[in-house]
Amino acid sequence: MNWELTDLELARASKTDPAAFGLLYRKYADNVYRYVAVRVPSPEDAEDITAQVFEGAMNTIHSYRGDAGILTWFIQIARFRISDFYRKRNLDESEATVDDSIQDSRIRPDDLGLVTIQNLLGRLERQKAEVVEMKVFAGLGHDEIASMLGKSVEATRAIYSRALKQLRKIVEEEEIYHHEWFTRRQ
Amino acid sequence: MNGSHEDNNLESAGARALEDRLYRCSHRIGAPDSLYHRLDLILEQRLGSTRLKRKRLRAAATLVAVVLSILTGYAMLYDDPLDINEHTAQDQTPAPGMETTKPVGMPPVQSP
Repeated sequence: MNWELTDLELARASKTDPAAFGLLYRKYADNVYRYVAVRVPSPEDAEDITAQVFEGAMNTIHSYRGDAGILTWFIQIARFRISDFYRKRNLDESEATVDDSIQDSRIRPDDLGLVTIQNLLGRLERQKAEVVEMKVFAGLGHDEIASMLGKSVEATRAIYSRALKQLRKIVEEEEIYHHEWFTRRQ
Repeated sequence: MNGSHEDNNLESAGARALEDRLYRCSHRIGAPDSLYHRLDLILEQRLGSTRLKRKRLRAAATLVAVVLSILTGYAMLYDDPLDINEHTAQDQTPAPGMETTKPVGMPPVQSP
């Protein structure tokens, strides 16, 4: 017999038993944290927002009907929280994630750290960046991203593909630059 | 034609390689322990308040049951059985014009 509960069963159980919610955040905290971490300036902000996301979800779990996956629902809450975060600080997301010290740094081969990724995504159009954030960092499927953005699955795939091509171009240029800079110094 | 096809292939291969790098980086980012600790604390608080609510509900239900049983006992103790007899007696009173039982040995009353 399979004793493992599905996300929907856990979400339903959470309405009466908060302990069931513990299993849900243990399963998805990494996904939500990654998604938030690439969108906000510091790891501390990412931790605060992720905690708020799960606290909010715990408070409103009774309103979750199971139309979308539970991770999609968490990411939807995270999107609102991130917008709140920037609105309260009167900041624009594209300006906030890339500061001067990051712009001056060069991308090194095989070293795509969090800051580098924020820098790269900051150079994409918001929609392209968002699709990459949801696909790679939140771990959502194209169908879930499409339903969240109100687009067709094909359109989402196309945006993702274009975003990857653009990112690749940026990385290549930066790596060539880094290589030239490095050999000149030698 | 072939050249552009090759270019496309190379381009997609490059994009896939970058995608792999992005995924590798993504998996290196993990929620810190402090986040789990915070979430555990929130959950414990929630569990505590749920238990308290359940305790209060149980206490309220017990109180209602006790009050109901006291009221029932009170009603049984103070319910006057004479009241019932009185009602019964009233019920047995013959309606006007109906015959009544006469005492034994009395002559029948003659009507004029």
